[in-house]
Amino acid sequence: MSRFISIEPSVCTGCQTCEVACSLFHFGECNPFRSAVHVIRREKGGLVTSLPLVCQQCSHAPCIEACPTEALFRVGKDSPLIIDEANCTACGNCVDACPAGCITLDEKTHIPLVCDLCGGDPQCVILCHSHCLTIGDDMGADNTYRIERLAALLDAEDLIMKRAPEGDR
Amino acid sequence: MMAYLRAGKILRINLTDGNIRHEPIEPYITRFIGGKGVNLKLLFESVHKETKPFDPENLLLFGVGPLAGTSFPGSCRTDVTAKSPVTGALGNSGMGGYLGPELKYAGYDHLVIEGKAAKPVYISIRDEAVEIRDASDLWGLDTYETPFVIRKELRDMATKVVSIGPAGEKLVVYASINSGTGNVAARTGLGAVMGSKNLKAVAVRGTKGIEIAKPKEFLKGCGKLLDSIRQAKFYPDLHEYGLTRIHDREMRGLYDLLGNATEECKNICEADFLKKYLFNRVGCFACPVACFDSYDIPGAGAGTAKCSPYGDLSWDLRNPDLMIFWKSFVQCQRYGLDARSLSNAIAWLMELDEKGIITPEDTDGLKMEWGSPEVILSMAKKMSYREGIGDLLADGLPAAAEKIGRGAGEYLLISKGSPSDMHIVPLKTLMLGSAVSAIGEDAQVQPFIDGVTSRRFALIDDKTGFEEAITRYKDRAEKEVGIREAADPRATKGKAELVRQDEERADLADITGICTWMTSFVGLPVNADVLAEFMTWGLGTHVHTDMLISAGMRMHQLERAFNCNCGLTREDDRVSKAYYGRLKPGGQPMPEITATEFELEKMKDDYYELMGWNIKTGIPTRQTLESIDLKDIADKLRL
Repeated sequence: MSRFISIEPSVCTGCQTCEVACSLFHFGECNPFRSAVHVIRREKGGLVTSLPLVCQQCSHAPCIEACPTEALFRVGKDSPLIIDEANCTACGNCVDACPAGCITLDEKTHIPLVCDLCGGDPQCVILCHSHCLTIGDDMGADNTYRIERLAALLDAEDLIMKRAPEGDR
Repeated sequence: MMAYLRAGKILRINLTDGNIRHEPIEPYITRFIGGKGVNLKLLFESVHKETKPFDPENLLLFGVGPLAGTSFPGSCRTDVTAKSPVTGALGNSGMGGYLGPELKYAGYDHLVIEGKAAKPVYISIRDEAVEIRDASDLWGLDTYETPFVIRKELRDMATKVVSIGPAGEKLVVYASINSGTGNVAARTGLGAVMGSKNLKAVAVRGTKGIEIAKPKEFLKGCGKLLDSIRQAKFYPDLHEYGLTRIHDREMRGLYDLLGNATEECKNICEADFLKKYLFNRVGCFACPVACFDSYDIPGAGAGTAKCSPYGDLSWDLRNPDLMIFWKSFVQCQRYGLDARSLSNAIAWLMELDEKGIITPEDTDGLKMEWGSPEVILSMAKKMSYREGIGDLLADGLPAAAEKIGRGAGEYLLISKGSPSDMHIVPLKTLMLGSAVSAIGEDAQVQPFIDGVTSRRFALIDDKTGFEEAITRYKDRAEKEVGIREAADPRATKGKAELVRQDEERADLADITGICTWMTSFVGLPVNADVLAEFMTWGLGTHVHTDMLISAGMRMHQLERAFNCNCGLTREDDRVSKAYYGRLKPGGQPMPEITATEFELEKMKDDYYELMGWNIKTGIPTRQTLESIDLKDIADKLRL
């Protein structure tokens, strides 16, 4: 089996509970900036569209391939992504490699925030009231379509995060 | 140093001299916890009787409670507080959404805005980087456009923004502060206070965290609480239909008691409107309910709504067409105008027209006929831009009544100068609650038991079977407030206790930063014990339920003290004349379950006694204040 956090975009209400749950579980604080889930939220003309992004546990993971120090890896076919913090150089290649931008660097440690499925019981899924996030299992089948679907959604909904260039403000 | 559950700082921005400074929140939290509690203390310290609502000396406060920004269900609230141009005394309105949590992530529990900018500005907060920025180009934009332009300017689409629209800029006393996506501090004219400071918007972005002492317990508790919320009777309805199905029933129930709905209005169905037009369901920060319905209707406009406005702009104006409601509501949102006050103002003019007190000559040629789409669709703009009759209303309905004369004031449905819900039913507890509320009628306070038994009484033909029918509510009243008779809608006895019980529920939500809708208000399970438990996990030190309840009471006494300091007394704890005799199930008055002026005074006596206020003046006694650690307040009031 290969478990991952499945996203049903149409029912996200934008509440950010997943982000808070993730940071609380991993860092003991409520901080959307220190979460492996990121809710992309866009407001326009009185309307809100939101979409949570989280690692889709790709079988052929571009982030693992992009890591120059092999700090990102799996311990078997069924393992979630694992990061070896000692070997991570915070180069950010994994961040760039993910087609949907599911990985970000922790602002404090500069180590990538990757989804480890909370060691088996993902807290974001437990607290997601709308069943937007659920636990999926692809039985080890090829699954790159998932991350591509997320990337396509971001594009279609005009949700892509346009970050401010460094020092621009 | 960062304290658990709190960001730790109060940010003060003076718009007159541009001074930006901060102070620790620590000295305030033991007594006032946070949110509305600390807001009130800060307001009480520096705004006095002489301060006029639009003076630079008035403060505009944004307060965020200790649980806000955590994963606690509904931990989203921001309380906005100032001296109000509507009541002339306390102004307070809570808003949900995302601003409050973001403010805490930026490092601040409270934002205090002082002074007045020389020209239009907006405030940008990005962690320590706090700027007062030019808003000349934003002045005149509505509350949908403003956040969009600010986000572009700041190059950050995730910045949380609240702003005022044209109504706030033009100091319309019913102006609101809006997120642009349905979250609004709508009541008591806080948008006008913001406008008086030349402040167009507040934009916040934070990257810091809120520390939790026992994260595992806190998370586990959230999971359990979510499970019990999901099991609540109304939850499936709320989650799928927002408030529409519940509100459909509610409006029918209320109008059964008021007895003046038109036949056409009885066909209104919010749930059908939702099914036909829903764009998506959205919700506030950390909310498991997501009660907001959003629509994008070609030709009618887009936006996000919930609950009361559906009824305010349909039933209350005898307008059976929800599309008219929607168009008018979108205008309110864009212009930054309180839909409930608008509804009340229009209903008042329609009644004056019916009574022959005004004619179309008084109202720009518009015939103020009940249900008129032409009227409903034009008044939001008139009021927000102060055009014609709108200008007359924009300084407040009591002032407008005075200008119109001819006894027009007799028909106002207001308390403490603030326009009430047009569908408020003058049951004993609702009359008392409105009368003693610090901000006029407050829809958050709706004592459950009296509501249910009053409806039973009105709808049951066999009055002899009534006693039996309400036995279980009597048992409940005895258990909860210690007075069996409180459940009898005909008796004044125990009504003060029921009102206080419900105020306490709202007070606790307001000081902790959570939405009152997580409480028994709509049948959800959050109560004082639950809040104390999570505060304990959050802080890592034991928080007693009683300690929280005392802090809620302290906040309530402080509200009262602020109003007393503004010169309000027992005399001001009134509801307007139009409340009386408004209850007419089937068109017939039902004096048993409403109150006369005499009965209201009697209930006030009980309430004052319960609160420890001087029966004659309504001012808290020194003994009362000292007993809950408010000696400094007693000194300030020179008691």
